[in-house]
Amino acid sequence: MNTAVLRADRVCLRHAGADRDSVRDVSLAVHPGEIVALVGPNGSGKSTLLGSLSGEVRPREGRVRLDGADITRIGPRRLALRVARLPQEPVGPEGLTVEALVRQGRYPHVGAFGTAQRRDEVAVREALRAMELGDLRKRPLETLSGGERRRAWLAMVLAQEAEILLLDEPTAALDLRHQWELLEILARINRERGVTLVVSLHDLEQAAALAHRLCILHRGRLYEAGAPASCLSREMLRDVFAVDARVHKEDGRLRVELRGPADPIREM
Amino acid sequence: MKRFAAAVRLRGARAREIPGFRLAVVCGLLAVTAGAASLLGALELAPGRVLRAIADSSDPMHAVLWDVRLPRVVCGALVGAALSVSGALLQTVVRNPLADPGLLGVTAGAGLGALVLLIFFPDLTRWLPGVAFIGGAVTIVLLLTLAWRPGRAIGPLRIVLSGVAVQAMLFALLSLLTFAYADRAPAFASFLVGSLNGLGWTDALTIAVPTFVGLTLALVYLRPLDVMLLDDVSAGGLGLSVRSARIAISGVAALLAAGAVSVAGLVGFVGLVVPNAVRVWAGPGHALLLPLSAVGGAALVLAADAAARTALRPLELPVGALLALVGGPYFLSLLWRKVA
Repeated sequence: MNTAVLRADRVCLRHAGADRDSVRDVSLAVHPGEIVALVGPNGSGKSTLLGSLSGEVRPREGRVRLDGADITRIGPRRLALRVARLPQEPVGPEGLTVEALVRQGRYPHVGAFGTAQRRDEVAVREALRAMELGDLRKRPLETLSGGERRRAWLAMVLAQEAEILLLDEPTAALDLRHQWELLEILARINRERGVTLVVSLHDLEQAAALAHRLCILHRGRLYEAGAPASCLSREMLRDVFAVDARVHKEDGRLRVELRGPADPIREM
Repeated sequence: MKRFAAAVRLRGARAREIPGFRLAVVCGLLAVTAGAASLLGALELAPGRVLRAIADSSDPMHAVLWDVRLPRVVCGALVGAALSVSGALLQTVVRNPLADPGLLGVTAGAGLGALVLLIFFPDLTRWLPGVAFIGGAVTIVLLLTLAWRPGRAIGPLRIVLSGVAVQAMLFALLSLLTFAYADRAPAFASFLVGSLNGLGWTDALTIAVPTFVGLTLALVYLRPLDVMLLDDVSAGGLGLSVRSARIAISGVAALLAAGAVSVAGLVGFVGLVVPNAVRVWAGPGHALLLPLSAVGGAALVLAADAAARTALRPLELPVGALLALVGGPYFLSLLWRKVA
């Protein structure tokens, strides 16, 4: 049963060599089984915040805790058993087959010197099936289409069987149909496996449809967090995204109707 | 004809599915080259004669085979295996197929260490592999520091250029030392190109220890090596401490290169040619890559050495020169493919 609570407490994050924090004073709690979407314009700190949640970026100030324990003090392998992370553009070597990639997801379970057990094989097979990659499992990654490749990487982190999955713009560079399929897959992973998802997304309508909660970042600060219907407003779009847009509900889904750039005077 | 070709391809594909098939093929190759290397030389011997002479101590060729040809074959095989696996490891560490202990200056660093020991502390020659290891390891550290950009893989051009710069400095030091201490430096010309001439059983022992230690460590490290093939964020997300793994694997690569340098000098290109050729055939996974590279590297060096000894008989050419003749164009073709 998934009970993991991931919590960022007033974190300030800075990249090596930078003279300014790219995330300032952000607090966020992710509860078991929920989908949180991180949204915000380019450079608002989404990826950096995700990096801190997976322990990759050490907070300059503040703490990230998993069930109350500081994640910088949890060993990397033990953390990987509970929190999985997929970067925006993961890179694998030429010639790596889908199956070999997915098998890498078992690394935190098997360890550096262990041998794969039966349950490792089962997890790999299940991840391949869940991502509908059965027929492609012997194919090298570079021969797949963009959408298939994204599914292969997702299968790898699924095989990791972590309770929390952190995904950095999983729909980027996919065509519309593959974006839609991928969002369906994410919703299904959450529904059927109870996996907690923290996903950064650019498309606000997609974020609103997928997530239980939006977390809106603006210039490294948390602008607002809450249910999509309450966060997605004309004011927020003007303040954060500098656009004039109307938000309305259609067939039970939130729609953002873009009208143009926000009033230049307001933007100043 | 077309159908025949398709059928051959299909059977080939099926045969390649059998585990161990590839290893068996490469081992066969090694056996053939090892056989050829013991047959060929300044003195020509028939296969039957060789077997008789190995067994029969009263045969006049017995000593030639046991004291000259066999240790040379053993040394050649170990040099090839060590350099080839060292190259495969370095390619994974920098995530770049153009890495090679020779091209990156690791062998030159190890050679510099060895030369300093030979010139200034001639009594301590049994520490030769150890000092060569330190030289090689320092070079890797220097190189990674020069080429590193946080969070990104090292691009092909960057790694090659850094290697060229490091190597130029090391070669300058090597030349200065041999000029200043011409009387004490060993046969410098053959050391620089790499040669198996005149190696005996002591040399075989010298290289055997670091090679077996290095190969064992590399095989133990199979799984982290495979994870390291992914980008840093993904590898870290799987729970690998990428930094410490990178340091450990670089150390193993330096150890292997140092062993080879201690006996054979600066043999180049084995670590570049063999793992890249193996990858085309067996994919990037280290479970196949490392054993195949080890055996394939041994076979390549033995074949090159056999050719080096027979091409201008009775003159024995340095094996490194022949390898560079093959390796240079291969390197260029890789560079074109990867940079373009």
